[in-house]
Amino acid sequence: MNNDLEFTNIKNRFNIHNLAVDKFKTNLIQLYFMLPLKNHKEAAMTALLPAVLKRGTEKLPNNRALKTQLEELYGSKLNFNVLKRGENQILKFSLEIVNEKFLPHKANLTEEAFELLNDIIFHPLLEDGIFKEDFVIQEKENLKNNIISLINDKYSYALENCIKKMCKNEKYGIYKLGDVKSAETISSRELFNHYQKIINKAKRSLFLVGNFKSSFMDNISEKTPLKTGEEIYDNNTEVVYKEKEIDFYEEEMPVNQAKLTLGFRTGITRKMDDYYALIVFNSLLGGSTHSKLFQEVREKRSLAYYVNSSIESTKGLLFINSGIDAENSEKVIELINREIKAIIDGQFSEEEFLRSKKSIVNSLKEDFDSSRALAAQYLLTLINERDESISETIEGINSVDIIDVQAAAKKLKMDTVYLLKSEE
Amino acid sequence: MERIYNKRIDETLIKEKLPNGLNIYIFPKKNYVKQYAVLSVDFGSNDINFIDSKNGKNRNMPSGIAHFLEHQLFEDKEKSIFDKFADLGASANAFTNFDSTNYLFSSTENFNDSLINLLDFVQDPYFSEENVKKEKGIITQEIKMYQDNPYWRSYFNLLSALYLNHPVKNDIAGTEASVNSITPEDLYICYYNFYLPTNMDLILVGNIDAEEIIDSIKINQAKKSFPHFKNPVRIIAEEPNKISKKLIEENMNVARPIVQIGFKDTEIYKDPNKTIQKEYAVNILLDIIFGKSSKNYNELYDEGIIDNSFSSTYHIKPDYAYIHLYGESSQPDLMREKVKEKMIDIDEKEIRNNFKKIKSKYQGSFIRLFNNFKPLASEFINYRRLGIDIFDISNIIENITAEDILIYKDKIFDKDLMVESIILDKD
Repeated sequence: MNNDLEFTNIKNRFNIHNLAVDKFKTNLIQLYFMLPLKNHKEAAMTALLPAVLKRGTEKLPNNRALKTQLEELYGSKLNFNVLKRGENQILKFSLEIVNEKFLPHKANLTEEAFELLNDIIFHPLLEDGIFKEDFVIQEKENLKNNIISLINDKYSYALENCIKKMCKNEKYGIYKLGDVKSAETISSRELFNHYQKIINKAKRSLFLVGNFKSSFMDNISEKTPLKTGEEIYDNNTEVVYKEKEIDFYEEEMPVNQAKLTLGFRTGITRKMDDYYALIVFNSLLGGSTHSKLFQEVREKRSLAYYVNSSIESTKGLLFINSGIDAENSEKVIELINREIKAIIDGQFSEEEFLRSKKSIVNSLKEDFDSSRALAAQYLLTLINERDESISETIEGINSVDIIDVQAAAKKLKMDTVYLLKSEE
Repeated sequence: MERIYNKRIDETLIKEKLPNGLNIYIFPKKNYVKQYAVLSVDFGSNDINFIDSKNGKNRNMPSGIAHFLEHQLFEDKEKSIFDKFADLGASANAFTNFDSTNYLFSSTENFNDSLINLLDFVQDPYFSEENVKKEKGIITQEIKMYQDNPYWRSYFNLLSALYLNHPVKNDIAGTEASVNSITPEDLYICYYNFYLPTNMDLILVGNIDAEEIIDSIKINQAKKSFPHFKNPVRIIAEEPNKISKKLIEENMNVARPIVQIGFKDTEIYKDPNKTIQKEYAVNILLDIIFGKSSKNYNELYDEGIIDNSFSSTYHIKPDYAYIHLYGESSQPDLMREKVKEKMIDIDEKEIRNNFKKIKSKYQGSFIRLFNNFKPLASEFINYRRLGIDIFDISNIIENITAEDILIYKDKIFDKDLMVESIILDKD
């Protein structure tokens, strides 16, 4: 078994996390900048930044030249993402390159692609010392469109709105791309200052997953202008967990299917001992096809095609999502409450309990086979400052007892109910 | 057992055909933890009209029946099929597309037992009035979910504008009405016609001991008997060389308008090599004209007419083919106009200068495919159903010349066969 795949740290000018593994056809390089979520404007600026950077570098001053080079590098995949983990906004640059050993000619594919990534981040095309004005104007427009396009996907729209309402007084309520109003106000100068702050002061990590040549790995830190910096990093996600009245929100829109999203506070984060019990509880409640909600809401009563639950492990939240007929919303909420209570009372079989554990263990073990999943898991351990391998997480899951699951279920507090439904 | 090793990408494919006709294909993956299995039935949403092998009757089934059948096979007399997999620590699922129904699971232990589970539940139908009724409620919710998806909806609007008769114009899940008309008897008719071992492929990828697994499948299959039917004869209605509608517009709650443009291509082939060769040649042509590194894309992007949602793809099967352009734009009319303009005057020089790098891109994605089990199995099935060996794809790409691409540049964008599907914002 390959269960010992682990990242090792190369301590240098900055943190390099390397996972040497030779089973993949590609090499994966990811660069993360981590920032505390502060306000809509900063969130929008962080989201805007990669869009502007990818417009051109000093050497390759337009998108066409950049894209041409990526194609010549056997279609190397260069992606930019903005993530939210707890009350952190994370800027992610990801580069996936076909391993040279499968190609007849390109001897230095990884090297060349990494240089391009560095150029994009550290040597952008500038005009009068700041980002090109027309790039910024246009990418602001694209960012605004991106933000409002959330409405095209009703599932995510309902979930994000539930989060927004539920965490309206917390940083977590800020959408990962910021909001349209503040995106509009960003100037090229402001964005450039924000960029300098990020590349000089934000906490950063470089992940390397794959089978890199030693000529590439030797003095890797010389190959990038990346420097040390943790000055603006604060990792204090506020975990809110207190008694309150449940808030109910309804929004009307012409839809065929209503979306019901329920937000809960778990009071449990990845740093805590009962985190494993929470994972098992979530799996039992709405993790997959073996779950209580799938069985009761879908299989027994045909009330939904999908109903699931998911946890946010840095902020301590749990969400239940379902697509239903609006007239059944009360019935579904009642069923959800009933199933949570059933778990608290221990009304579940040994089989259900074991399935819930096996399902998580299976999916964690599957992560060993994906370079992206390996990186994503590792990122969460960095953010939560809990140095734990996937194998250790699996051990933790296996050690959970039925009473631990009941206890985790008991901690759950319903906070907000959000229903998107058609106009009457 | 036949073993094919491809040295260049260091991958092995093992093939075995059982006496009952079931084809097994295995991609063994050393050093991986996971196993993935998919049993693919050559029966998709397009197969609604066929001649019943039992009695020669012409059958015309409600649209969405293949997908309905997929859902129903998960019903069992005593225990939930999902739970049977979950007890083994495996995760089961299924999906239906235009051409096939696919039952799958992934596991990291108990692979053998899970695989037997998979074969047993797909090869043991149980359709009751009560279960069929229950499933109608669930599938109705699934259809409603897709109806609220503007991308999905405008895509099927596009297909129904392109095709007058071909069933590819129907939504894979059918409509609420067609789904509600399905009976257990319909399901049994489809089942005994299409769910024959000769009409199925089993694809296994991952940390697998091929010989041991094949032996275990052989024992399982030898215990079962199947009717000696020939594979069913599908009836695909004659599709005229014209389009159904020029334009379909709809209003939905969207951030900004969605534009989809299609060109029906009537030059299709029975020869699989020609089909695949054309698939790559036309896709390379589209990349040169509209891809992210193209002159046109960047010009329209800089003018703010398109953004990175814009994409172009060519689809070809033995019985239908079309070009599909997609984009979101706040200036949909201008976008449509500009895109049409760019198709008229295609510069030969652009093609000659750029086709090599686009080919590199496709070579890269071909290699990358072997990282991910599910897409690998899906692509394998696509090619195998056509009659192409997946390891040949790299050579097919390599052998495409500028001339192969140039022959399509003036005829593939036929204005008379062009359709548009637009979603406008309701407000």
